[in-house]
Amino acid sequence: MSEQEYRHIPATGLAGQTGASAGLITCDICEALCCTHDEAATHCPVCGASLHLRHKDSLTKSLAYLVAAAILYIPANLLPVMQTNTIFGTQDDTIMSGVLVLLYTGSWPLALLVFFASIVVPLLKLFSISLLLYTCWKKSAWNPLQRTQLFRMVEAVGRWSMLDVYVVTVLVALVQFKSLAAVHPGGGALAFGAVVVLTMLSAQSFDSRLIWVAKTHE
Amino acid sequence: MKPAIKPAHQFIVCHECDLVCADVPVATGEAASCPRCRAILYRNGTASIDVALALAITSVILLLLLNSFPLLSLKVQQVTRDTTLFHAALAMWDDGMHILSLLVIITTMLAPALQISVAVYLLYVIRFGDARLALGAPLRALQTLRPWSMVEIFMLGLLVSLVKLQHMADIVIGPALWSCASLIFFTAALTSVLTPRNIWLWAHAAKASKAATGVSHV
Ligand SMILES: [Zn+2]
Repeated sequence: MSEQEYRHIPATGLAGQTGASAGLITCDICEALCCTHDEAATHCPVCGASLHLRHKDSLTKSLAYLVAAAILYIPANLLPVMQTNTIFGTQDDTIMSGVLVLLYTGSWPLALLVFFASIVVPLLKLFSISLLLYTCWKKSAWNPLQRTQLFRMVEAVGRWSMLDVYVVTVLVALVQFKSLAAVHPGGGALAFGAVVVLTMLSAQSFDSRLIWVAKTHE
Repeated sequence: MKPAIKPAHQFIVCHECDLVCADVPVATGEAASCPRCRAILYRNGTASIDVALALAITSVILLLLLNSFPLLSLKVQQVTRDTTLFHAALAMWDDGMHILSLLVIITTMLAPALQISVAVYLLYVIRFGDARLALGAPLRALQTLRPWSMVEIFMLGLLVSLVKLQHMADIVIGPALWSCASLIFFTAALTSVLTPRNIWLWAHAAKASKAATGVSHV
């Protein structure tokens, strides 16, 4: 790390420029400031992570995961997530009926929590990522700050949809009393888990820097 | 062109919108944010590497407790059933939900265990070993693992299950449930101090103090 290696980084006059125009990039992993004068991906000299001015094929990858998630969202909501066998009979529960059971027998704050994590969050993610992908594909200059904040929210709340998968896991493991009562997982749980993972991958593939592209070319 | 490093951070390129921002010192406890997209660029925390190491070791102990003891016990008539984390995931496997079982194992056992092990390795290497030794790859692993470790969501799933089960059986809360709750607290604290920036600051400081005391290094 001699002085000469970073001589071409000027000390001043970069304010307001973007990394892409200044040939600068901060490594995602170790936060070292690196200098790249070509658009090709290189590797961070400090930690070896690959450096990208933009994620590769961000929009295409994100869209592919999103489409897969949207398709699986249908069986995730229609198929039962679990089946309860008791001496009184067999009951299939979908995500929505699970929420209703909680509402009637449990407590409404908990029902609201599960409703939010299992129904609102996945829908919100599907719509938000679609909106982000569309506006970035159009290079729209519309409210970049609000869109960035929307993306942050999508990333922050996305994992919480795993809640229902864990509830089913715990119930399946605990409620195994042969003839008295037993809980078995349903196909909906698998589809639901896949929706959570796919929307997480979709959000991770999305490059939020694309939101600001139109703005800088004006 | 070979990317160059600038060890003294004078600029930081915003990860979220690609704006080149001045890397100015901020007061203790405060954070610098991007003027354009308001992303947090860096914080000036007060955490020392010893605090981080203590948090990491506590997390290791809590993780071992979480994985060794039952989470919940259920008593229906004369039959008692309890489950550990691993057995909960296995019950899913036994019911034919192999992918879902793997997803639960990855997000509640594998990812948290790897995350904490990598953290201990990183901190140990910086604190007691050669500060230039392989920090990049583990730091990369840490950043990748972060969203996939979902102990806190699992904990919430446990609480929802508790409410769902309270009508059908006597429930005894297992020791692992308390470990789970404390683990969430300690890993959250660990995550907040184990930022890439802190790691490189500690590594630089360790290197400087070694150079000052005359220990040779490469
Ligand atoms: Zn920004």
